Parts: sequence; C-alpha cells; structure tokens
Amino acid sequence: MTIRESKIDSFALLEVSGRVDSENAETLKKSLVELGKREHRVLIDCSAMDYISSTGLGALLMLLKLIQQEGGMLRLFGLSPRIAEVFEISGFNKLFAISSSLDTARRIDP
Amino acid sequence: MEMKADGSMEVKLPNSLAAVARLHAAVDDFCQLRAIHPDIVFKIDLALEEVFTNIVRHGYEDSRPHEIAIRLQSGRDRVRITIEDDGRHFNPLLAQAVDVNAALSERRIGGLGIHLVRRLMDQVRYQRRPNGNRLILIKRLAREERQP
Repeated sequence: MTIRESKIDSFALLEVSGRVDSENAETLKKSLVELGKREHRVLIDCSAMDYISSTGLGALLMLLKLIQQEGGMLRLFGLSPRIAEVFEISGFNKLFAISSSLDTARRIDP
Repeated sequence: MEMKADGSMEVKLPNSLAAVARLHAAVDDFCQLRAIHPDIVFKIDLALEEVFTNIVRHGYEDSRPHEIAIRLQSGRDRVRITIEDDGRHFNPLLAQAVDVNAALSERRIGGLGIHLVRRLMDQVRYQRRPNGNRLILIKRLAREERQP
C-alpha cells in the first residue's frame, strides 16, 4: 500500500494505492486521522487500489465520521468494479459520496 | 505450504496479523495453479483474510503462539476452504448481523468482516471441535470462472 497526498483546488487529494489489508490498515488509519484533523475537504483517489478488507473500510469510515463532524466533505473516486462491489456489500456506497473520476469529484461542491 | 496428493493445499500460519501476506500468497499460488478467475481469487482472498484476522484478534485468551490451519481444495465447479483453529469456541454464523442500511451515526467501526464472508462466499459452515473451531467456506465457480 502506498499513500500520497497532494493539493488540488481547495481539496486535499489522497491517493491510496495497492493492497489495503489488516497488516497495513493501521498505517492508513493513522494517516487518515492525521489528515482528518487538519483537512476538511478531502478527495480520495482509489483508482490504483487493488484490494481492501474490513479494517481498511473501518479506517475510511472513521475519516468520514471525523470530517462530517467538522461539516466538511469527503469524496472517493476511481473505485474498480471489485472494490465497488465490496462497498456495495458493506452498504458503504450509501454512506460515501463516490464519483467515477477526479474530474467529476472536484466539480461537485456541496 | 504443502501440496497434498489429492491436489489440495494446506498452509499452517501463526496467529499473527504479520502472517496475512503469507495467507494471500498461499491463496494466490493455489488459484494461479488452477487458473481460477481473478474475480473469484479476490473474493476468496478477502473472505479468508476476514476469517483469519477474526481468529487472530478474538480467538485466544492467552498470549501463547497458536497455529491456524488452512486447507484449499478445488473441484470442477467449486473451491472449498477449511480453516481450523484451537481458539475459544465461536460460531461466526451466530454473530449479530451488521445493519448495512444504518445511517452514518449508527454505523460501528468494525464488525463488517463476518458480513463480508457470508456475502462473498456461497456457503459457510461451522463445526465445533473439541479443542477449537472449523469453518468451511464454499465458493462456486460459474462456467466462465472454471479451470479449463
């Protein structure tokens, strides 16, 4: 798993790529908590994410709760069909704002 | 990792999250040898990781090392995965279901693993053993996902 952060418009853009499993989800969780404390407009690029298990999903849920408490916005984009299915089974597609691409994600401004 | 005469594969792993990579490597090796479709490999990987990490996190009351045995078998139209541990008795099929329709404020962080296993696999069977648990996962292969 690799996590890269950059800025685009007024958003913090986080690219999470590779495999997010129980072995490395704690690293993701720490990064997300740290990010959630200082950024309230966040886009997460999942286009190079190959795999995610429930621990990684839990880390994303935690970030969403953190950001919503602050009245911010979090949007994910670029989910592969396999990852999208995991989101659907988990009901996460109803909790998270999800776009197909960076272009559509950055144009939506709630 | 051991390949049996009947074509099944058995791997014994320590009860440590650090063994997750070895677990995935075993699944990938097994599925690659049998040309199992990558979509199915993804589901088996995920279901097995959830079962394995549940055992590691909640299965033991002591701090001694334990062994978790995983056997992978494939037939013409299905993959069968057996997981045996010597932890405390726990039937995941009796665990409280996650409400996937709950609002954000009601959603708990965690508790999703067993739900994923049940949804990703076609059958999940639990057997209580005298000194632990046996969980059997069955994933059916659609025609286009079968080995040639």
